[in-house]
Amino acid sequence: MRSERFTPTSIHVRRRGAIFHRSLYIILLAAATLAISAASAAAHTVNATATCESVTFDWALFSSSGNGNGGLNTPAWTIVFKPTSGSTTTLQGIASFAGSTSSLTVATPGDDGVVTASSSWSSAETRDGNSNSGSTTLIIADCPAAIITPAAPAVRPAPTTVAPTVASLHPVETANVPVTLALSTAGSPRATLGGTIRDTAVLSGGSSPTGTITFALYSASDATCSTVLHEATVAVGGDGSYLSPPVMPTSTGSYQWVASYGGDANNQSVSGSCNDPTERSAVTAALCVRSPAALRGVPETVRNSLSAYVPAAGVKSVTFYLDSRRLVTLTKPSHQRFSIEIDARTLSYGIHRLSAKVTMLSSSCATEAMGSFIRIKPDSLSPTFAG
Amino acid sequence: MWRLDIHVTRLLPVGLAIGALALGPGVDAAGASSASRPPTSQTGLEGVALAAGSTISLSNGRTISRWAHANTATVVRRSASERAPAVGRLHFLTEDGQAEVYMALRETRVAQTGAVWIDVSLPQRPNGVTGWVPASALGPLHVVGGRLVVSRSRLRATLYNQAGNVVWSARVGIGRPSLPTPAGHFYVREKLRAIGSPVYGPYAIATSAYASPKLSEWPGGGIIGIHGTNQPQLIPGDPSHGCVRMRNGDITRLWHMIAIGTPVDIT
Repeated sequence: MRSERFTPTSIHVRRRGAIFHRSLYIILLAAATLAISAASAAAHTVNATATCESVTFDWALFSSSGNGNGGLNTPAWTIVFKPTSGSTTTLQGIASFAGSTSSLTVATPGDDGVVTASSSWSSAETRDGNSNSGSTTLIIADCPAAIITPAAPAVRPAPTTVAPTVASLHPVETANVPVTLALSTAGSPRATLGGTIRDTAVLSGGSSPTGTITFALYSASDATCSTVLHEATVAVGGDGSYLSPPVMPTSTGSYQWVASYGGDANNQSVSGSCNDPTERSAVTAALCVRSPAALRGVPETVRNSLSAYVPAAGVKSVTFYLDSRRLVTLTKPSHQRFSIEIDARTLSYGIHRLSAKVTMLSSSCATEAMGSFIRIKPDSLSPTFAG
Repeated sequence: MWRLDIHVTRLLPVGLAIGALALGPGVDAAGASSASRPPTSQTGLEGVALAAGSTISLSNGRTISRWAHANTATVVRRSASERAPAVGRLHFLTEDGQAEVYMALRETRVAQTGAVWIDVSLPQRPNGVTGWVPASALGPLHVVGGRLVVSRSRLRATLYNQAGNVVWSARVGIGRPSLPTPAGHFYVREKLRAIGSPVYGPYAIATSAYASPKLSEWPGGGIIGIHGTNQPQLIPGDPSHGCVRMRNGDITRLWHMIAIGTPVDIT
């Protein structure tokens, strides 16, 4: 009985006159010179198209021996194209080797990204029939590499010797299915504290994209988008517009979004950019409704001391300032008032400003009430009159 | 005894009728709490806002007068415009460290800008200078009724209430011929309890008038005051450096009756 093991075979691949030597286990190499035409669109859009030009190469001297249990007439192959750098793009198809020719044709991928590769193979092949899998990669500069992996052919090749032959790879176009990712802020690019902000990512031109979109929120001052403040992912189900979950910032400021599509088998991953001005969301302090809170009791003139107060109704806390100098913050009213007593004897004669920053119970915003007084000398003195 | 001192909001009406106001003890401006003042609704002065381009009188010097302390050290202009020449600057304090008082004469709302300006009488040399400041440069307006008239020819001072009735009168001493008491329309700037010098008696009232000619030995050139004396025998007469002297009993009564801002007409 013949052995099921494929023996290593020497293969000579000549590309444009060059001869390459490879060792492989029952692998047929197909290579193509590829010219990559990459189109980089505007922001949010990433397109990449790879086109393999025609190339003629020598099929390897391929021989094996053994007791294969069938002829190499209709093996099934998986062809994988990979860019020499960057993201992986997988195009899968079936290579059929049959007939008397030795050409390999890889068809242009369809919209679904699947390439059907076929080939005719007439020469007898010597193989030991023991191996049923393996792969190798031939890298050609600036071109995708073709990886052809036998996929357990149902019919084993006959234990014959493969004669050297030449295969011609027909013009092949492989296209990494373009995905255009558009990102824009949705709803209000501005929000008040306590409100929410969110982002919108628009996927278009994809090949039934699946996977997820990640929405990351950063401070607008994070020039490298290194510190994620909030992150959420949403599932992708085809082209369309995807909203991030709403985010409620806890502090005012300017924020920026970066949305990223993770890609799938048929669609490249793509990401928005940091510092994109269209991805800013400004969060400002909540608008304060004018409250009746006021600074009361501030006299116009003061000699030794003064007292002032803010009525406590609806007030959460009060911070008093004298001439912009913080005096005290009161959080508990007394007798329905937030009151302050000031010893004015150390103050200079003249105008002084007393203010109260009032935080209301109903909101986190604060209002400011202000009053001024003139510190004057005692009225018991020797006048400077003409007399 | 009467005194009227009412806190008025900046939003002034065209009408100035205050005849219904009752005279009462009132509250001194100095040291008085704004919370203790009568609410503005009691002044009868609320109502129509000042129309753009119009000017209203704030003080007539007889039945009603308005005054305010300075809120900012603003330049006083010859007319209601930031580009008008300066005639002075608001001050917070008098020479005696009391809150400076400015008599508010008129109020106008500039047609082009809508800004409200107030024409004030300036307590400075020379006497009688007036000028305009933005309304925001002044504190709340206070209202006072009546006036004090000092007759140099009769050597008598007379206090009239808002209705024009005499409520107090006394013989006085005035400035000697070389240092005459200046004539003009002035007002009360401060009320002091005179200590340290018996020449002023127990009480002294500062006016917005200054001695003329200038008295170099007094701050500001000599404030014309109204005060008591330790030489009552010289009253009535013209013994002073320009101040109005009166017997100590008279100044005591007047001091308790007259309010800050009360017009003082020296004839």
